[in-house]
Amino acid sequence: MNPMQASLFALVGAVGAWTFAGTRAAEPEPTNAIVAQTSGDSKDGKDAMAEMMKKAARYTQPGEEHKALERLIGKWDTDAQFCMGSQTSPAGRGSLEFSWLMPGRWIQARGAGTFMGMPADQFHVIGYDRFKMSYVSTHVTNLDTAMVRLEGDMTPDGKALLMYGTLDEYLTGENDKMIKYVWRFVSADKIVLEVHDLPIGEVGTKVVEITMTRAK
Amino acid sequence: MNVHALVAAATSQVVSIAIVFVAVWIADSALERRGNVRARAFVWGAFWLKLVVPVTLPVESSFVPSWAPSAVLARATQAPIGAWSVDSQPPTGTGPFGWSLVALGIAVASALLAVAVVRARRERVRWTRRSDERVPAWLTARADEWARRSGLARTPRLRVGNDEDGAAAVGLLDPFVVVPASALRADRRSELEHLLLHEFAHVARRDAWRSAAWTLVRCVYWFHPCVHAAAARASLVREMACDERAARTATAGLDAYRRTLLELARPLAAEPRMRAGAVSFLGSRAQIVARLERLARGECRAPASHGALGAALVLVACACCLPVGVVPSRNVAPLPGLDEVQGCLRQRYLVMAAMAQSSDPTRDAP
Repeated sequence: MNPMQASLFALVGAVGAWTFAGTRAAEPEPTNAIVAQTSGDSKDGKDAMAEMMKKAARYTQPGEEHKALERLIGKWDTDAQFCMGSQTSPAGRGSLEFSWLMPGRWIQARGAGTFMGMPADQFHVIGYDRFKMSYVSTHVTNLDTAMVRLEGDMTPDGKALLMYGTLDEYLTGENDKMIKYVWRFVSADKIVLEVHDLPIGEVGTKVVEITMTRAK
Repeated sequence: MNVHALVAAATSQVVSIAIVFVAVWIADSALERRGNVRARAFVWGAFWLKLVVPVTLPVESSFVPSWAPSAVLARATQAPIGAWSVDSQPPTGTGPFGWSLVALGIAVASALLAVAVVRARRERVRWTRRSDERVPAWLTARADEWARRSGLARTPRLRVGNDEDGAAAVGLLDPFVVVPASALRADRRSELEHLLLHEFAHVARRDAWRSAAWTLVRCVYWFHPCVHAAAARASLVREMACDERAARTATAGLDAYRRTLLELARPLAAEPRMRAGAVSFLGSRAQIVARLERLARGECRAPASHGALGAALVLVACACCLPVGVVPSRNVAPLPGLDEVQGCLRQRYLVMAAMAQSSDPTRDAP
């Protein structure tokens, strides 16, 4: 090895050593908690794991809020009314069947009928997000290509579920227009679903009212 | 005028007539076993009402219960959109077809009425030509008494006809009664009493008008076998009602009246041929058998509960017979313009309704 080659090897070796050392220095030091969680070999680590599992169980398992949705399960006959202030007009009839998509967690509803003269099919998914602490819903229909997402809460007396969402109006080009769905649980065999167009104002926002009667 | 809606409504009417006919027939059969002729007449009257009430009566409200077959069929055949669909409810408030169809209906009804009147007049002329107004004085005197017994304030004019035609009450406004010449023989006086009591009962009940009314609906629904069957049944009920009335007022009582009917029916059984003015000879023979069976059971003395049952059945039949039209909601609003509504969602739904009405082919385009 001539001196030139020796100095070149030495330079490459030095640069490599410096690069390796720099990379190692950039990695953060693991905290005690993470070490404990991954190893589980200390008391603090076990407590933290138990707390996290408890939290996970609380937010991932269904609860009383989901049981409140059970009253939707079954077949319903629907009668839709188009509303303009105090006036209403028949808008269509159909049926809607609610069943568990995932037992105890998610409810699906599949419906068919007519709406404003159009054959209308619809599909809903309704559930309760325990971390968000809100009822969540999404639905699609064959009347357009949009997926509507809604979020809201049950009233304290449990007689109504108020959900809010947004709608992109393709006719006017407006986006994220606020809409409100109100599920009124009138009785075990009757539910009234109201659809409100909130930008209309404070009153007279109800656009559609669907009376659902449990099919015999 | 929407042809599709017209066909749908006509289909609804035809099918609902068949369903109501079956219901009324069952009710009539139940009443037949109890011998309640008056209730049977009411039931068939209700069915007749069903036939003449327009397919879509432009009314704001209806007595039709939601479970009535006619209402069910009307709902099933109406366009699904509801109040704003041209197919089911235009904003004019005149029913699905508008005033043009109402005017057409009135015109057709008037034409049919004219045909019925002309036919009745021709029938009257025919009977007048085939009969003689020279009636024996003794018959006139007796006829006055029998007419009074039948509840008539004025004795109808009598005419003597030939034996083939038999006895008949002819005419709507000024009816006269034709008596066969053979019935004037001295040995057939009791038969004559029964014949005249029966025909006077027809006059007292104004059965000629009922018969004309049924002829009218048979002209309209000439293609519907149920209507012809109903007309025949109603005719039989009319004859039974007159038999009952005549037997009640006859001097010799019900048995003698029945014997007379049997005697008069004998030649009909021996010569089975069609007669002018009759539905058919076989129909007539079947009617006579039914009438004899009815008389064999004796006078109907149905208890009050039977009357209540009959009335209830009539009410049910009426509920099925009243308007079949689409019943608009009291709060129905006419289809507004886009600039008349608040909110984009309402506009969206109005556009949907307009697309549904025009069957826009671009809707299904990918």
